[in-house]
Formats: sequence, structure tokens, C-alpha cells
Amino acid sequence: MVFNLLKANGLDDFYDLDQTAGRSQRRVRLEDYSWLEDARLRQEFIDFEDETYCRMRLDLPSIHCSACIWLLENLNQLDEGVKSVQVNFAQKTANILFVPEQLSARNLADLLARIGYPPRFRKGKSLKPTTDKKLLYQIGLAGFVFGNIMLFSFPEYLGLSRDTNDGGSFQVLFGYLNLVLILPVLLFSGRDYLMAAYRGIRYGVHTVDIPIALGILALFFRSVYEVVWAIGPGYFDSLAGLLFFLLVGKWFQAKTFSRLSFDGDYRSYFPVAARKITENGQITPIGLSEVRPGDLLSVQPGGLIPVDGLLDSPVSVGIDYSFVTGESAAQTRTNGNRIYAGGRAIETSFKLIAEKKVEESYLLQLWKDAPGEQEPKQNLTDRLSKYFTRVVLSIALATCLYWYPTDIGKGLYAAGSVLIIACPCAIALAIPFCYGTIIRLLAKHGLYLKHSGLIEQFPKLKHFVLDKTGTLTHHEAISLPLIQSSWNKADMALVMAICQQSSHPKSKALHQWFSKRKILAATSPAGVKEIVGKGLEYGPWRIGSPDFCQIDRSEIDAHISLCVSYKGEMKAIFGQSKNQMRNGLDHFLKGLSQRGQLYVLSGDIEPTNTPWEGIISTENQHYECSPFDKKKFVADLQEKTTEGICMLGDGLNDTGALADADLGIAVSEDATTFAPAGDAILSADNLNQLPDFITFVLKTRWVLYAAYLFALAYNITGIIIAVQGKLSPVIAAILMPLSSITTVCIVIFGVFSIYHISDLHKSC
Amino acid sequence: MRVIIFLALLSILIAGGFLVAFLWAVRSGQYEDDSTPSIRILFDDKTTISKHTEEEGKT
Amino acid sequence: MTKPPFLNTQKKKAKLEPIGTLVDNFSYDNKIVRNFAYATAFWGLVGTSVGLLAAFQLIFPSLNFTAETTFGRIRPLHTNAAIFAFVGNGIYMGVYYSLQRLLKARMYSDTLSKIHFWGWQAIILMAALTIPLGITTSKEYAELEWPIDIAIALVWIVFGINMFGTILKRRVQHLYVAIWFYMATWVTVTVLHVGNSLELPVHLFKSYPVFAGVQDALVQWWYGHNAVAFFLTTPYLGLMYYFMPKAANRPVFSYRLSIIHFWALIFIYIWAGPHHLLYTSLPDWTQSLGMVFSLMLIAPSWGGMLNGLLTLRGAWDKVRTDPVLKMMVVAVTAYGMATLEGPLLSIKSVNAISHYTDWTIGHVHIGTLGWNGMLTFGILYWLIPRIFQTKLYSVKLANTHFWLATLGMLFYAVPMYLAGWAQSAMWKQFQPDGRLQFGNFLETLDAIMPMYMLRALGGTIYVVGVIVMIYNIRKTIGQGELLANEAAQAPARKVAAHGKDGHKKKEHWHRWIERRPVQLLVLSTVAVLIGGMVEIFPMIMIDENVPKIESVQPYTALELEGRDIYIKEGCNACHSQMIRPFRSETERYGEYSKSGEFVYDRPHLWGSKRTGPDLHRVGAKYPDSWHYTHMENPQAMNETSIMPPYPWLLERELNAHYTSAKIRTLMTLGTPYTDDYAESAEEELQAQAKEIANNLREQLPDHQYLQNDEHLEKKEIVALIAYLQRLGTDISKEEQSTKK
Repeated sequence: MVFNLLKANGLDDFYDLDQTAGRSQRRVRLEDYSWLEDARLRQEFIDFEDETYCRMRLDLPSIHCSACIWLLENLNQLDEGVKSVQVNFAQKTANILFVPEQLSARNLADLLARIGYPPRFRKGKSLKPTTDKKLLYQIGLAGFVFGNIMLFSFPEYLGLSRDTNDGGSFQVLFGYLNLVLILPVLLFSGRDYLMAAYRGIRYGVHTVDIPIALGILALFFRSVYEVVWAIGPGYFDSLAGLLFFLLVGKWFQAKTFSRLSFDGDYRSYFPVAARKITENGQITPIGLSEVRPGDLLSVQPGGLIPVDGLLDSPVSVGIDYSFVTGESAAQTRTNGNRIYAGGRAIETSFKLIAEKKVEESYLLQLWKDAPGEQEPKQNLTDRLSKYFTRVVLSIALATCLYWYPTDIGKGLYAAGSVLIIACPCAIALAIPFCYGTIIRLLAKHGLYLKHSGLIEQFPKLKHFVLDKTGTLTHHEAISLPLIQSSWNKADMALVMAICQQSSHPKSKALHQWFSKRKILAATSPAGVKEIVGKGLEYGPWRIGSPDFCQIDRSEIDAHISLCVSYKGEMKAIFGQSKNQMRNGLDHFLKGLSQRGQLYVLSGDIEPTNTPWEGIISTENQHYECSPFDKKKFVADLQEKTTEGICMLGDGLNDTGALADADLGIAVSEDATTFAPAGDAILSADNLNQLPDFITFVLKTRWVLYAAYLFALAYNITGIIIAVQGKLSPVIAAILMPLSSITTVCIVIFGVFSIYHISDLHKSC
Repeated sequence: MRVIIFLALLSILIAGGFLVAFLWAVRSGQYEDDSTPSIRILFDDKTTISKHTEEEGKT
Repeated sequence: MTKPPFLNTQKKKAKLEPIGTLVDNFSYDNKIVRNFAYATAFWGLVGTSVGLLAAFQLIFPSLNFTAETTFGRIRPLHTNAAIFAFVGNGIYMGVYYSLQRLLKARMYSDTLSKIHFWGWQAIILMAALTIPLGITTSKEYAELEWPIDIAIALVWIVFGINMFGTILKRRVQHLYVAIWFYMATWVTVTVLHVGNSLELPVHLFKSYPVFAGVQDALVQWWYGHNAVAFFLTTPYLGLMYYFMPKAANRPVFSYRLSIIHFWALIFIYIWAGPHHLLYTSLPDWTQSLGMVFSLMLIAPSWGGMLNGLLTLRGAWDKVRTDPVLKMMVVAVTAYGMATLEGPLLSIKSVNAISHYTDWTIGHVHIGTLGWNGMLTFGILYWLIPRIFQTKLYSVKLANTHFWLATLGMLFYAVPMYLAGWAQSAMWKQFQPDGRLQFGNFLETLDAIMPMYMLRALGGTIYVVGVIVMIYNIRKTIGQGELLANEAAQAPARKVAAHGKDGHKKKEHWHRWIERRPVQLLVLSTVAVLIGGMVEIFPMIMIDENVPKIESVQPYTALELEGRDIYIKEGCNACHSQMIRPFRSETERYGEYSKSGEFVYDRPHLWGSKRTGPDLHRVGAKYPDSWHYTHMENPQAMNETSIMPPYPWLLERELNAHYTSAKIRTLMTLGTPYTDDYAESAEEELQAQAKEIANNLREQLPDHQYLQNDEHLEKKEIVALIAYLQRLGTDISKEEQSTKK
């Protein structure tokens, strides 16, 4: 259908417009949207509703090309109920206005799912765009005032006030106009800096805001003085310019990746509703939070287990805990077993009796004691500014004292000039633009940082804790080592056909194994029996555990995971199935091992011949550890060392550890769907580039040093002029923007040139 | 050169107008999505689905 | 699907709305686009051809056939045709096409569209009539007299209503960046036009500006700068941001950057205007300041250029074959060049070289031929086949045009730069003994004649290109059929408007703002205008505060008439009246000009180009007879002169009908004439005329025509001579008085 639509509308040409267009989409599990019919559950996802209209902002992860925009925004032509659709491409969301009477929310969701854009409903994930409007206002105001104050300074610049007999009159007028203009800038645009400085002084924390605020105030009061006493035009232009540049820097640094959520917790992992079975056997959706112990819930194939509970099912069922515990192999549970929230039902649907509330579930304890947003540590600039402030103040004081005997007035004047000119705008700009550029470049390579402050963690990193399953290994691709076999092509074709009919992970693995070897399945036979927890049976053929295939394991010493037998005679024996390693792992491991200590934590059992053998000492490899072990491990490491710890993980089970590490990187196959809470999200395909990322970031520090050197030179020249009390508004008006602009240029070009010589650039 | 006052004030009035426009633009969320509009304009002369739904049947 | 749209039914809350209609079915008005496209192509040919004529007149003075076709009148005709007829119509074409589609709405009113179209063409025709007839204010790019100024204002407002009306009834919430450029253009040009056209009429075809001398110059160049900024630049940037992505079928490189581009440009351009007025000698540090400003101006402009060019990344194969993209690439590059050069020229030291030379001419033509011209051609080639539902008749021809245009532009600009540098150097060159190397202005002119010829060649090539295009377009139209009303569908407007953002807000005022972007802009414009008025009237009333020079007196009646003839003949097109304080200039022309000398100049006649020498100190330099014979036939005096002859000045009788009216008007504006002088204006005039006539009779005993002319004192030439002889002499009187 989608294809027809696009074809019919001559959108083919967009496929060259956007390479990702029409890429085969990841198989999306059809969610059950019936809960949308419940007004209460629906409520949280509705932006606006009145008698006629309903507006929802939906999360549509499968938006991937410009054709999608076209299709979705013309949805109203597919269904009468839709009024208007507005897609946000970067965010992969759609803002949909529809008429519930014509198209219910549930049907809307189904419609979208049908045309290939199944909406994802996740609690606690705000889809509202994240532009900081206040900052933009501040910039706009500052820019506007900056421009106009300069305009008003022209007579002064042009020296007209000297040319004309009554030039003074409008010089005064403009002076006051500037004063009026600057007030909102000082009070609105500059507010944050002043407040921050005030707080800094109050709590004795040295931040760069203090010297900035000093400069701002010095500029302001000096200017007011000059204007009111009709001495000169003041430094209003410098003041406005300074604030304008600072704010722009702030804006540039605050790069957010709106479509990613860095605080994905269980709520963004679990569905919104559970399926409760009422007394009369009806299945009704209820909110997760409403699940009470004792409730009877139904879980569909592929569905998630919402709460810990007791399995209530005639047959035993397979449950996939890989995402939660990191165990790759599916587990089999039988009636009455306790099953834990977060597991995924594999092939059969079943009932379960809730034992706890959702938030009390065993796994979710992780978030209970996971620390929240920790205080951003003092950054480089702040540390510098500490000394900066002192030096500047002392110089100012010294100047004042120097002039005191001769001319106190001039002394004050000079001291003020020192404060003005020494304002660390250059330094305050270097960091924002440097980090802003870095964060963008890293994002280009699939590493998305939560905030640019994290860049300062990179140099510290000395310990790298790696989760195995899903991080170092692929999620889907499974390798199955064949131990011994005695079958011919025909047998294989048949076996392949048999296991084709089961969705059990092992059958899937076996099927993969065949298809890798270019085996073509025979015509799928009828009457394949699946004995849950044992295996598949078709006539004399049996596929499953050794006992099921009646093979005595004494002959083989290797760990057997799967057998194929014909009339009890062994046809094939497979060893422990392994998830496939990600590519480029050697480069990754080598690179990191040069930086520091490596560790492997895995919920899985110990695998054989891994690529990190020899690179990571065995005592640093820990297997079959629970989420809590992982968390504890990192926590202990934190105790032991002051050096930075970097944790890489992909699953819920890593969340605790990620939160405790200095830099928790969540590795994700598709950053937009789900990644556990962390400081950064790294797209799995770019995993092997991590070492390059770190080297790159380290190199960029040189740029900062260069910028600081420049800023220092500028400040010294400025101060030399200032202490002699020779600082004229014009010199300030030239020096300040000039230094700001050069700093910004140095930083941006510097970072880019380093990027271009780095391995990163080559790799892309 | 009083004319400079005239020119300057005239200019600041214009600029003021634009400032208000700017504030409006930000406030009304004009700039919340700064990627889609550029793609969207490429569709504006594309024909409508309804025309083609029959064709769909044929294909 | 096809229920009637209810967009303009009611403005109540959404809930009161009938459910049912989802999409409005409406249509885009392509007819108006076509009309403007035709006009663009036509005036493009006219404008360039007239320019070509002007170029050739500078080589062959004999091409100044009649009074109506002398260079002094052809040049303003050319600039007006190029800017307001060609580029103007180009803007409207692009805006009317893109606006409808960007807003998913037909133009607000077809009637207004028609009025706008025919009104604008009528204005152009009036201009094409009045300027050759010598009806002009002499202010560059604002030569048209007050009735036409009013007409322009009215039509412009019609355009405004039509545009903002469309924005109001738009069916999409987001205003694409191009639209912001359009709106900025409208608001600013309105203010500029009004601000610069403040003049007091004498009669239907004559008015005097409210500002005099230096102030008039300031306003004029404040307008001059911003006219370039907001008529030739911002609207075309809007067009670039729409048509370039469309032509390349790729989204613009960075939409965010384009938004920054817009606001940066707006906030900087607004105050960049005055700082381009550096003309007096300034303190040195202002030059370094100028550097900083220039830097800031370059940044957004180049941001825009790169954004345009990078849009084509990965599409260069397309560019190689597609003439439309090719032209756009050259256009954007030209924009980059021009915006780099502009700030450069505004730096004092550079300006000292470039001012009054052909460098400026080259610069502006990079802008118009390259940026405006090429982009317009590109849009035409892209748009005509679409609205005529066909393919371009011949891509080959289009490519030919591309090369013709590019070569033409280069052959035009490069010689101009060389000419500018060469002449400027020669003007400033001294001999060891401190005398000017090239004392005779003509030497510096002869030296660059080859360049003028090359320029004419370049122009010819460019015009040929335009002709090729017109043929190509004609054929394209021939094989297609206009889709006058292009059917379109969009979610109903109320819905779109409704669909701003979710929750109903408490704060009232900004809800209001949110729903009324347009009223807002209109209001701010009104505010600006009122504000402007409030400021200006006191300023007209208060007496001039430029330093007075006692000996500087108002012009006599005859001189005043002479001055108006000077204006009528457009002498200021080639002769400046502003001697800058450089030794090279004082040496050549005499004492440098003081701002106090211009207090009675309405309008100022500083000029911007020295094709001939500066005339500010020409007064009392030559005998009356010299001017008489020189006007009759310049080549007779120095055969390499390229000044056209003005024989009709010798024949036509001066129309002294309005003299006293003129004087009274000037009195209202503050020129200190006495009432009885206004009364006796005629007699005064005749008296002075007789004097000069007698001088002439004495000095030219064997000049047949003159001797036989018994109405000599009534002739225009006499008035002109009176004016020329007065020019810049007052200040010397002062010197004499001080000597005594």
C-alpha cells in the first residue's frame, strides 16, 4: 500500500534524495492498542481534546525518509477522521489532529501501524520539542539592542559630535536612549549571569560567572556614570555585544538530540497497559500502575511480562530474558513457576497471577536506588576563572592604589577599566564553542552525549567496564557450533523445514545455521509436534535436548545445547550457541586497552574463545552476574579508584551500573527506539570507533589551550591600556567583539582541523 | 546633523518591529522544528492521493 | 472528499465547527505568475538594452540623438528599468508563485493581484515617459517625481495587503524562511520609500526635497544602501531559499542556518545603512571600526551563500547538465562576491580609491547582472514550463544563454574594475614637482576608453543572451498551455490554525500575537511610519544646524532655474559636486567642499560617478562664452570629449512661469528668501539674464547664431551658465571679505 501511494504520487525521486529511504524496515512487532479505548489510559498521551477534535503527538520510530513525511502528512486523504498531520522529522514524531467521532484513537494507531508506522506509547517520555525559548528571547533582545546601540554610537564613532556646533545635544540624547535600551538587556538577557555569580559568591563556588558579572557591572555603572555626567558615550555597545556573544555561545553549546531520550527507564520499556482478565473472562486493558497483587493477567506471544508473578499455564512456556538479564538462551518455565517482569513470552501466550505491584518488581529495584541527575562537576572554565578573578581583582586594586597618591579619580577610572577589559568573554566563549562543535562531530559518528559537560570526563577515563550480550555481541545473530554430524543434504533440508515451524530461539538458531550454509528447506512437513521445554518431533525425527533425542552425553564431553536424531540415532550435535561478536571488536579492545583497564561483566555463562582472550585478564571477566552484581561492581570500583570509569551496556540489566559510572554509554541498535538510562547513547554500528572518539576529544584540548593563550594575550594588552587609564569606549568597542570573534574562529576551525586529521574523519 | 536622529530613530523603529516579529516567531513555536519544513516544501506541488486511489486498485 | 471548504465561514472556536470537511480543495493562481513572468522577461530586455545604449553613448557621443536620449537621462532610465521594472517584476513573479504554494493558499485576492500587476506596469510606463522628458528629482534610484512616488506607495500597499492577506488565510502554521524574507522586504521598503520621498511639490512635475544639502545626501544614501539591501537582496534571498531547493529537488543544506541567516541579516543590515555613509574625513580609528562592522556583515551574507551552494552537494552532476541550477550557482556565487566587496568598499581607505570611479559600476553590476539577473533567468526557465505544463523548448539554447550571460557579466565587470583602478590611480598621480601627472581630466578618460569598449561588448553579449531566452520561452509557451488555476488540496485552514500547539493557554496577549503574526507586522510598520512622521516635522521646521558660512547665500532666481535645468539634463549623472579633502582633488578642482556650502542645495547634487570632472568649483573658472560654446558642441573644444552636445539649450526659451512659486516653496522649506524677492523674482531673473547675455555677445563677436539671437537672454543656456558660474564661489567671497 505504502509503495503504491508513493509510486502513484511520483515520489520515486525522493529515493535518491534520501539514501535511507525505502530501506527494508526492521520487523516491527504489532502492538496491541486496545487500551487506547480506555479514556483514562489514553489521557496522558493527548495534548488537547474538545468536543470535536483530539490532538496527539505520536512517537513514530519508523519514520526514516522524506517520503514518510509526505505520506503521513497526507494521511487525511486516507482516512476522513484525520484532520491534519505535522511531522517532526528530526524527532520522528507526528502531531496529529483528528476527529474521534470519525476515527478513534485506537483506530488511528492501527491505521498508522498498518501503513508501517506503528506508534510507540511510552510513559514518561516527553515528546514536546526541546527548544529553550527563553534563551532565544535573550539572544534576540541582546542582538537587537546591540545593533541599535551601535547605530546610536555612530555620531560618536563618526566624530560628528565634534564636527557640528550643537552635536553634543543629540550625543546626550543618544546616551540616554542607549541607557534605556540597555536596561532590559541587563535585567533580562544578562540576568542569568548575574544571578549565577551571586549564587557563586554566596556559596563560595568559583564559577566563570563571577568575573563575567564583574565585567558586566563595571561596564554598566561606568557607562551610566559617563552618560549621566555627560562625560562620554559610555560602553553600552560593548556591554550589549558582550552579552550577545556570550548568549550565542550558550545556545551553540546547548545542543540537544531531541529524538533521543537519555533517561529511558522501565516505564519507557514496558507497554502502557497490561491485559487483565476479569471474573467473567473478559480481557480489559488496565494501566500498569493499577495492577494489584492477585490480578490475573494475560501475556501474548512476544508480549512483555509486566509484573513478577506465578505462571498459570497448562503447558510450559519459553521466556526470553536476554534484554533484562543479559542471558542469551531462552528459559523454560512450567506451571506455578515464578516469572519476573521484563521477560518476553516467546511462542505461546499464557496467564499469570500478579504477586507484586509493577514498581515493586524484583528488577525494577534497580531504579529505586539508582542515583538521579548528579551535580555537573565543576568544569575547566570555572576552575580557571577562580584564579582569573583573583588576579583581575588584585590588578584592579593595585592600579587604584598606584594612582591613589596622584589622582584618586583616575585611579577608580583605571580600576574600572581593568575590570571592563579583563572580562573573560574570550575564555567564556572558548569552551561553549569548542564543546558545541565536538558534540556535533561525535553525533555525526553515532555517539550522542547527554550534555557537553561530559566531554570533560573523557580524559579521566581509565577503566572500561563492558557488558557482553548486546554490547560486544549482536542481539539477533547467533552462531551455533557444530560438534559432530552424520547427515546428508536431504536430511538437512528436512530438518531445516521442521525447525522452520517453531519460533523457539534454538530452532531459529538452527535455521540460521542452515541458511548460512545455503541449504534450501524441503517442503514444510505437516504434523510437526512441539513439546514445550523439550523440542520438536516429526515422525522419527527429533530436534532438541540430548535426553529428548535419547543421546547419552557421556560420549561427548563438550557442552551440548541441541541435538538432531533420527530413530534415536544421532544425526547432529551442536555446542553452546553464542551470540555473534560485533565487527571491529579487535580494534575496539586494543584501542581501549591502551587507554586503561578493561572489564567484562555478563549475565551470560562464560563463553569459549572470545576475542578479548589475552586482552582482558581472566580475573577481570565476570560472568553470570545479576544486574545488582554489575551495579555493585561499578560502585566498588568507584570506591577503589579516583580515575574515571566508563560503562558500556545495552540492557535494562546494565542501567544501575551505567548510572554509577562516570560516563555511562548505552549501546543501542537503534538509538530512537530504546536505550537504558545513561550519559550517552552510542549506536552499535559505531561501537568500534569509541577509542578514536576518545583520542579525538583528547586532541581537541590543544585547541582550548591555544584559545586561552590568545585570550590571555588580549587581556594583557587590554589591561596594559586600562591601568594607564587610557581605555576609551572605542578601543573597548573594537577589542571586545574582535577578541570574541577571533576566539570563536580559533576554536571552531581548530576543532575541525583536528577532526579532519583524526582517524574518525578517515573512517567515515 | 539632526537628520541622523531621524535616520537612527527610523531604523530603531524598524528594528523594533522585527524584534517583536522575532519574539512572536519563537513564542509560537515557528522554530521548534528546524528540519522538516525544508523537506516539506519539496512536496508542495505533488498531486493528491485521492486522485490515485483508483490507480492503486489497478496496480 | 470534495465537500465545500469552510475556511472563511466563521472565526469562532473550533468546537462550533461542522465536522466533515477535511481538506479544502482550492487552486493556485498561475495567471498572475505568468503575467509577471512576461513583464520580467520584457523589462529585462528593455532594461539591459537601454543600458547597452548608455554604454555605447560613452564611446560614441553621436549616439545622444535628441534631448530625450542624452546619457544624462538614459542612465536613470536604465537603472530604474533594471531595478524596478526587471528585478521588481522578477520579485513579484517569484513571490506570487512560491507564496501560494508555501502557504497552501491562493493569493488573498485576484483583484488585488491584477491591480498590483497593472498598477506596477503603469508606474514603469510613467517612469519611462517622465525620465526622458527630464522630469526627475535627480536622486539616484528615486528619480521619479512625487505623483509617481505616491502611485508607487499605493501599489506597494496593495501588494502588501495581498501578501499579508494570503499569510493570514494560510493553511500551514509554519512560515517558511523565504516568507520571512518577503515580509522583511515589504516592511522595510515601505519605510525607505516614504522616508526618502519626503518632498514638497511646486507643481505636478516639480518638487523640492524637505532636506537640503548634507542632510539630503544622508537620507538619499541611507535609502540608497537599504534599497540595495532590501529590494535587490532580501527578496531574492527568499526566492533563492525557495527555488534553489525546488530546482535541485533537495532540501536546503541547513534550514537552521537559513533562519540564522535571516535574523542576522535583518538585525545587522538595519544599522549597517548609515555606516555606509562614510564620506567626510573621519578619525582614523573609525576605519578599524568599519572593519569590524564589515566583518560582521560578511558573516551572515556568506552563511547564506554557502547554505545555497551546499544545498547542491551531491547534485553537481545535475548542475553540470541543468541550466537552471547552473544559473543559480553563478547567481549565488555573484551574491557572495558582491557581499564581500560591499563591506570592503565601505572601508574608508578603499572608498577613497573606489568612490566616483567605475569600480562602483562594476560592483553593482556583479550584483544585478549576476545575482539578480541569473537568479531571475533560472527561475523563469524553471517556472515557465511548469505553469505551461510542458518541457523547456530547448535546454541547448538555455545552456547557450547561460554561457552568454556568464561571459557577458565577466566582460562587463572585469573591464570596469580595471577602468576604476586605472583612472583612480591616474587622478592621484603627481609629478615630482608636485603638479598633477594628468592635469587634464580627459587624459584619464581617454586611457580607459578601451575598457569602455570591452564593457559595451560584454553588455552586448548579455543582451543577446536575454534575447535567446525570450525566444526560448516564447517557443516553450507555444508548445504548452497555461494551467491558469492549478488544483490543490490541503487540510482545512481552521484546522491548521487550530493545530498550533496543544494546551489552551492562560496568557492572553501572546495567544493574540500567535494568532496574528500579520496584523502584528502591519501594526509595527504603521508604528514605524507614525514615529517617522513625528520625528520629521519638527526637523523640517527647525532651521538648519549645519555650521553656517556667512558668505553662503541662496541661489538667485536665474541660478535656481539654471540649477533645475542642470537637474533636468541629468548633469549629475557624470559630474560630481563634492570635492573630497585629498590633495589630488584640491589640486585638480580647488578648495575641498564644506558641508556648510550645501545648505541651500535642494536636492543635493553630489553625484556618485565622475565620468566627467567635478564641478563644485567650476564657478568663475571659465568665461561665460566658454560654457556657451562648450554646451553647443563639446567636441569642438576638445575632440576626445565624450560629453553630448546640448544645442537645444541654445534654442529653448526658459520657462520662468514657476520661478516665484519655486522660491515660495523653498521658503516654506526654510530657505531665507524675502517675500518681495519672491514677488520680484521675474524681474530679478531677467536683469541677471541680460547681464550674462551681454557678456556673451561681447565675448563671442563672430558667433553667427548667438549674434542673430535677439532673445538670447530668454534662453535656457543663460540660466545654466548663471548657475555654473555661481557654483562653489560663495566661499571665495568670504576669503576676500576676510582679506579686506
